[in-house]
Amino acid sequence: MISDSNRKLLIGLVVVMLIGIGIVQSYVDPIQLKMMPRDPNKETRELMVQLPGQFIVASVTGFKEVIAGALWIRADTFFHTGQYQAIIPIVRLVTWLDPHNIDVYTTGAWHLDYNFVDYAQMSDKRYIPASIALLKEGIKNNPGIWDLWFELGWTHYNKKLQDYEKALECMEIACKYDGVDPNTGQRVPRPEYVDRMLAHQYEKVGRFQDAIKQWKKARRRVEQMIGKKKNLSYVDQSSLDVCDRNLGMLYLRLAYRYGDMDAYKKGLEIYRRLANRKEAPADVKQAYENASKDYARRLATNNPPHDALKPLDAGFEVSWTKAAPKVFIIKGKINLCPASEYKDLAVETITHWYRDNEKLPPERKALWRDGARIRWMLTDYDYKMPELETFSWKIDTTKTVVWDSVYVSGGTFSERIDLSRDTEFYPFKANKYKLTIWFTPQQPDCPDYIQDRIGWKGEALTDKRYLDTTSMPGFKILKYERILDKKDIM
Amino acid sequence: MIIWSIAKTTVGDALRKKVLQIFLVVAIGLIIISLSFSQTLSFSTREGSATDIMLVKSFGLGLMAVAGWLISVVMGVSLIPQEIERRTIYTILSKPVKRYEFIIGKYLGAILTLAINVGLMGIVFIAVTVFKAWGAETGTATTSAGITEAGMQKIGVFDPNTIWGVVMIYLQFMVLSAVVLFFSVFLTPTVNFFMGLGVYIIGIMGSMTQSLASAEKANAFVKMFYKVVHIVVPNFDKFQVTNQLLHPETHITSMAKYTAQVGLYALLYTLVMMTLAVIFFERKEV
Repeated sequence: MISDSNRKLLIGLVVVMLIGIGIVQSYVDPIQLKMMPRDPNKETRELMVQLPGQFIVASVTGFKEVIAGALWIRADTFFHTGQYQAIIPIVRLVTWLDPHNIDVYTTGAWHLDYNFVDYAQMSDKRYIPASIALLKEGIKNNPGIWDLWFELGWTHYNKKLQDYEKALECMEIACKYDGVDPNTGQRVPRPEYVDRMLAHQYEKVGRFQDAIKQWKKARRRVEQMIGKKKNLSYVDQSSLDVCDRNLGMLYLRLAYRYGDMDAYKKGLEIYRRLANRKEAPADVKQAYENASKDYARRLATNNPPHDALKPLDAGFEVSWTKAAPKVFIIKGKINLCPASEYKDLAVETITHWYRDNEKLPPERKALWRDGARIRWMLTDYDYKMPELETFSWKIDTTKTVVWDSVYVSGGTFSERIDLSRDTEFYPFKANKYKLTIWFTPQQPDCPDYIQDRIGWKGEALTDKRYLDTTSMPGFKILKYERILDKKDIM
Repeated sequence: MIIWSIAKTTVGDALRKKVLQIFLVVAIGLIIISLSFSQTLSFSTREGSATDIMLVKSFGLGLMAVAGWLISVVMGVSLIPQEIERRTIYTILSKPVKRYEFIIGKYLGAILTLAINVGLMGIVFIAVTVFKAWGAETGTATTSAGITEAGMQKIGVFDPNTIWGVVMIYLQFMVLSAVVLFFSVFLTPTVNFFMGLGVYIIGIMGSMTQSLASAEKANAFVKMFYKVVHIVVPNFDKFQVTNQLLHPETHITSMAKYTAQVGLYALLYTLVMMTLAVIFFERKEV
C-alpha cells in the first residue's frame, strides 16, 4: 500500500502533468486548426443532415478522408448513370471533408461548366459563377500550387468566359508555383506546358515582347528540367523543339503580319537551328530555306511584309429572326477570308497554301479559308454574371443567359437555335433581352491562318457598320447588338 | 524484472485471443484488397494513379484506426477484471509483487501487443502503398484543359510520412489503452467498453470541444466546461493525420516534429492515466 503522503504526491504529479498537457495542447492546437475544414456553411449543414447516419458519425470521428473517398467514388457512379445533379452536392461535401483534394475542385468545376447541357449540347452558363467560386475556394484552401490557378485561367476565363486579361493574371500566378507529388508530397516542377500556355496568353492579348520573353523563359526551364532528370519522362528534346518552333513562328509572324524585319531575322536564326538538326522534319527544312530566301530578297529591296496591314473589308452582315417562339435563325455574311486574299501574303513563304490550292482541280479548289466562328449571346437585358463570394450551386432559375458560336463557311453562317425545348435552362422571364453577335480575332476559334490576314488584333479589319474599336481597347472587332422585346422571343 | 514478466504473460495471453487475431487478419486482408482500387474514378479530370493511391492510403489508415481501436479496447477492458474473475490476481499479489508493478506490467503487455498488431498492419499498409505507387504515373494535365500534348509523370514510390502515420495510430491507441486500463480498475468490462467508446468519441471531436471552448457567443460557464473537457479528455483527433499524409504539401512542414509534439502529449496523458490507475488500484479491495 502506498502511504498517504505518497498518494498526495502522486495526485500532485497528476495535476502537474495535466498542466503539462494543457501547455503541449497550446502548441499543437494551432497547427491542428490549420488542417481542419472550415465551419460548414448553411448548404453543407443541410446536406450533412441528409446524409446517412453512419456517414455523419464516420465523418466526425476521424474517418473524414475515407468518407470523402467513398463519396467521390459514388459521384463517379452518378456521372456514369447521368445523374449529374447529384454530383454537385457531393462535390460540396467532399471539399468540406477534405479541402485539399485538388481533383474534386477541378472535376467539380469542369462538371459545372460542361455537363449541364440542353438538347443541343449547349451548357447552362448560369453555373459558371459557381464553378469559378469553387475553384477560388480550392485556391484559398490550397495556396502555393499551380494546378487550380491554371485551371481557373485556362479553362474558365480563357475558354469559357473569354476574359483573356483575367486568364493571363491567373496563368501568371500559376507560373510562380510548382506542383506536388501526389504520393509523397514532395515538390515537383510544374509541367512545362503551363509556362508555354502563358506565352500563348501573352500573344493573345497582344503583349508580344512579353510572349517572346516567356518563350525564352519556358525554354530555359525545360533545359533545367532535362538537366535534373527527376521522374520527368515527359520532358525531352521535343519539349525544347516545341518552344523553339513556337518562338520562331512568333518572330516570323511578327515579321509577316507587321513587317518587323528584326523579328524576321531572329525567327530565321531559330529555324536555322531547328533545320540543321539531324532529325529535323522536312517541312522545317523547307520552311527555313524558303524563308531565308524571302528574307534576303526583302532586305535587298527594302520591302518588308505587311500581311495584316492591308485593309480587309469584313462586309459583316447579320440577321436574327424568330422562326417560332424561342426558336431563332441566325444568318449572315463575313468576308473571312476569300482564298484570293492569300495570294500575295508573305506568310505564303512558309505555308504555300495559296500555291497548293491553285494547283488543285477546279472541283477541289477552295474559294474560302473556312474555320472562323461567329459568337452570339442572348441574355436578360440587365443580366450581369454574378461574382460569388462563396461556392453555391443554387442558381437563379429566373435568369436567361445563353451563348454559343456559329461556324463560318464560304463567307456565310447560318444556324437554327432552338431554345424552346429546355424551359428550365431558358425561362425567358424578363421583358427585355440583349442580343450580341460578334467576332474577335482573339477568340479561341479564330484560326492562325485567319489571323495571318487580319492580324492578332484585327488590324486589317474594316467594316461600314459593325466595326468596334472601343469594347476592347487596342483591338478591332465586329459587333452587332440589339435589344429584344418579349414579343421578339415568345 | 517483475514488470517485464507480467508484461510478457499479458502479451502471450492477448495474442492467443481469437477475437484479436480475427481483427488483425480482417484488417490486413482489407488493406491488401485496397490494392484493387485501380483507376477508380473514370470521370476525374486528372489522369493516372494519384487518386487511387490517395484512396488506398485513406482506406488503409482508416482500417488501421478501426482495428487499433477494437484491439486496444477489447484487450484493455479485460486486463484487470479477468485476473480478478479467474482469481489469478490473488496468486500474483500474494507474491512479492507490488500493485503498481502489476498495473504497469499489465499496461506494458497491452501496448506491446498493440505494437505487434499495429506494426504488422503498418508493414502491410506501407508495402501496399509502395506496391501501388511502383511505376504508377499521374497525368500532368487536366483533361478539361484540353491539352493533349501533356505527358504522364512518374510519382514518388515511398512516402516516409506513412511511417509517421502508423506511429500516430499506435500513439493514440497507446493512450486509449491507458484510459481503458484505468477504467478497468473499477468498472466491469461491458461498462468499460462503452466508457472507452465514449471517451474515444469525445476525444476524436477534440477540435469541436476546442471550438466550443472559444466560441464568441457562448457564456463563460460553457466555455470553461469545454475548456476542461478539452484538456481532461484525450484529444484523439490530434493523432488523426490522414489528411496530412494525403496532402502533406498543405500542412505540416515537419511531420517528425509534429509527431514528437503529439508523442509528448500521448506520454503525458498516459502517465496521468497510469498514475490514477495506480492510486485507485492501491485502494481497491480484491
